Amino acid sequence: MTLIESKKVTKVYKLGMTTVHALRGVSSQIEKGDFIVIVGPSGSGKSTLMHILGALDKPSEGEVLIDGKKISKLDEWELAMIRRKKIGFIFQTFNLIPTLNALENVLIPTEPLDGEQEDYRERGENLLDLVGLKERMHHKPSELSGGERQRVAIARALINDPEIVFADEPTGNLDSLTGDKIINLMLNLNKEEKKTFVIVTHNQDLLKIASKKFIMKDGELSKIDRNHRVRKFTEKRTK
Amino acid sequence: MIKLSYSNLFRRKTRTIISLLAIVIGVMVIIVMVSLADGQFRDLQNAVSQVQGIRVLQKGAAGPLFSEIDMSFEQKLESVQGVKKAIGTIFQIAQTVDGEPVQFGTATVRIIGSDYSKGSFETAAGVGGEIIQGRSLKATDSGVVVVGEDFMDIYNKFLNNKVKVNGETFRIVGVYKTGSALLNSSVLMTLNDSRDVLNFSKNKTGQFSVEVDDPSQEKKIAELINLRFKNDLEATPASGFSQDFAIILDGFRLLVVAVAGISAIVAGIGIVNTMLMSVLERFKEIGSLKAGGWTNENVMKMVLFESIILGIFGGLIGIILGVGLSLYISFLSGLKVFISEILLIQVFLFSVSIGLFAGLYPAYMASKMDPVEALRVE
Ligand SMILES: Nc1ncnc2c1ncn2[C@@H]1O[C@H](COP(=O)(O)OP(=O)(O)O)[C@@H](O)[C@H]1O
Ligand SMILES: [Mg+2]
Repeated sequence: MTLIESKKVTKVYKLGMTTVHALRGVSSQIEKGDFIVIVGPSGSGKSTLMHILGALDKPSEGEVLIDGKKISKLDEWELAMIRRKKIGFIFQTFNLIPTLNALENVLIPTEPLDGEQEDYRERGENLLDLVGLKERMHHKPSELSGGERQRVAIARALINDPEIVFADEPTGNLDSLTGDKIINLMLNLNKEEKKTFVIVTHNQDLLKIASKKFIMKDGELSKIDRNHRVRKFTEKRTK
Repeated sequence: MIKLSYSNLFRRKTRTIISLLAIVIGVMVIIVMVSLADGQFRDLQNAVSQVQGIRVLQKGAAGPLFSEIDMSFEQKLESVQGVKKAIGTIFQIAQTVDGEPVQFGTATVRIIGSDYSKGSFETAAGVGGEIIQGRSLKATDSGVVVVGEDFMDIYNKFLNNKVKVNGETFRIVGVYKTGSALLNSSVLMTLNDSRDVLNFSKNKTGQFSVEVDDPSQEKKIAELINLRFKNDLEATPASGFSQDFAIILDGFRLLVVAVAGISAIVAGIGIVNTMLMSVLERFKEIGSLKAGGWTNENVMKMVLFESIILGIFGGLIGIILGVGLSLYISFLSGLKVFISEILLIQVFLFSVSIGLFAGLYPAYMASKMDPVEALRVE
């Protein structure tokens, strides 16, 4: 089942006289249950694509369909509703609120919702348990390690039970051991909770575990088949 | 959401406290000013309501202190139908007591000279009250005074002591007391003595206190006097006195409104500034809220709550401190204060609405922040 589809999506930024082509006609499909890894150098357009696929931004040209709905037709409020119900985001810098404890941070996306705060609370506690932070629920971000903070962010991304989670360089601020643990956690969530993941990263090692692999270069997205494209990518990097 | 807004305010405590301070001070000043003014007004109203009769001043005089009337009007006034008697009274503020200049303010010493051949103490003093030590004055007295109990305290006097008023020496033969703190430091003397002290000639008085046969007719008789002596005199029924005070107090209220306006602007700018800074600082965080499904309205609400909470806290703290300060001032100075519930409610709503209005622009700014821009890693 296709969750999100992009058709010839371009994104152009105009900065005074210069124009930046961040995306040059990206077509892609995200299926339910995918564990997609997109690699590519810095500035190649990975974040831009992720924001557009995640209904946070709109393409300059082309179309994005979420559950078959064209997002170019939606207004800001409708986009927010899509993000609220279907999409979770994880960032390199965690973006937790420093005055709130782990559980309160996880519950942040439910703040605007009506309904039983107790139910959300229970769900938040379960999610923190799931990411291995049961004991540290009431700690502030400043009392947590980088890996623990990212676990909180993962739980927060899952609080509204989204179909798909976008992670932008989720291990970028973590040492490799902690980073591996975070990736493993996402893999488990993919396998056991059937969550769809799209992970954007510099780290090519992650390609090994991906169900679908892509490379982003100069605003173009290409599918990697193991023997051919990866090599090309590596050639470029070592040159 | 409210809890979140509340906790957001505690991130930058100093900044929050500074913007609170502006509201707190504004609210405090308003409460102190209004409660003191209302206290004085009630005090004077109480005093004045004890007085009956009609006050007759020189036409065009700005008040009792500036009035001078020929004694020949005494008979003319008494010939007006319904008038029982017209009592010559001189009303002035003393310049020196025992050689020391008299301060203007709460301890203002008023000299009240009256024609005691015609009136009881209460009417003659023009203030109401009772003798608590010694005796009242007689028309034949000379060189003696009756003073208010506060006067005794301030100048440390005992009955039968001497006192110099505007350079003339008097003996204190009586002490009176009224319900109004403002009127308890006057010096009462005979009309003749007051003429000497205040340099009035023998055939002049400052004003007439007119007593009527039927108090319910006061207003009519005052109109009659005004008609008959329209070139020379101006009569006001006692019930109208309080209107004088009301007019003064209205002026004062305007001042309060001005102060309120200024503090609204100062506090408002403070909050706008605080909220804008805090919103800009949280650019990234707000982007992440939007990524998590918050709508622009949700973000707006969060920021608005923050500034409204500032208004609520500023109001509450300001009210507590303002009421405390008013009571303290009253305790120190002996001035009465009157703190009405309406004042407190108005002041509270005032500070909450400062919070609301000052939050509008920062809230709008926050809601318009582009999440994509916010989430770009620098
Ligand atoms: N708001 C913007 N204004 C101008 N240029 C932008 C903006 N956002 C992204 N870009 C440019 O678009 C390109 C792709 O950026 P990005 O998607 O962040 O790449 P990546 O995530 O792969 O590092 C870069 O050249 C970047 O400078
Ligand atoms: Mg990026």
